[in-house]
Amino acid sequence: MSIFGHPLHPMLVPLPIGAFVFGVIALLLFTVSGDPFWLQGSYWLAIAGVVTASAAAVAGFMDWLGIPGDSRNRNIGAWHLALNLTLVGLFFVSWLILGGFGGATGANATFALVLQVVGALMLGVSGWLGGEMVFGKPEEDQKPTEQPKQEQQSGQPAT
Amino acid sequence: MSTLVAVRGRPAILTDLFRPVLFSFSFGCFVFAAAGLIVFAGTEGLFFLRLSYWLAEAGLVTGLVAALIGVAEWSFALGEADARDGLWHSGRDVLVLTLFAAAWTSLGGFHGAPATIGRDITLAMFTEFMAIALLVSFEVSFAVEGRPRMKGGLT
Repeated sequence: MSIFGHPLHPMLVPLPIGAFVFGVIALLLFTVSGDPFWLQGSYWLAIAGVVTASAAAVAGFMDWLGIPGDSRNRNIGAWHLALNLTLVGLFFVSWLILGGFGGATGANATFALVLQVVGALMLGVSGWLGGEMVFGKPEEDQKPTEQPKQEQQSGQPAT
Repeated sequence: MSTLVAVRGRPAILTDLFRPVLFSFSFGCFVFAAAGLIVFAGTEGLFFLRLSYWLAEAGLVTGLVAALIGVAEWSFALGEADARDGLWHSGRDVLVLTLFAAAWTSLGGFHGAPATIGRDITLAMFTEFMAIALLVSFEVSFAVEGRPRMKGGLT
């Protein structure tokens, strides 16, 4: 999925990354300092991350559908997708724990923090998998080529 | 601030992990800093102004670290054709960081997060949106599509 020839998914993924990671930091600051500003910050960033991650997921899923079924990137993409859906779920649950639709209350903030830290770690792994798809070894370098077999049969290098 | 295609094959810990993650975090912080200013302009809620300040600061710090790693990576590519693209790339990154530094300074800078809502945020909004426009239009797509688009567009 692209806009004016530019892939949409890589444009969108920095948004949930920024929101989720800074949200975790904010919640950590709240648990340390007790300053409600950081609780509010984490609350708003968690839901902002969930919303923007959902948008990025749609674009990413459309891209994933276009990857050939037997390729390495298809498999990596499936793990990437599964991890992302799980971590978005974790952040959504943490947002609900922080207050959900009723606004930030700070109840069970420690449990919410644990969920967010796990989610952030998953985000790191998922991001690494995403990087593998884009910057990793090119697909053609990893598939065994048929050329040596042809050479063996004909006795001459295939052209 | 995206990972240069030029440095593929360089130390993997830098190219595959640190820089893209730092860039993404930085970019996300910048976008939400700008969003925070919009919400502040609409609601006059001091919370969003303070959040915008901290997000801009976090984006600046990580953006600077990403830039330093980028310079180190770029130095590996010196003498190669890609080094010229890297120069353009770093020039834009410096511009983006400068614009956000100006926005952060106008929001309070080293004096700390704004404590009142009587602050003029016009400059901060203008510079932040300029910076984001630059990032979106060039950097992110270049991360994926690499040299051809750069050559066609800028060199």
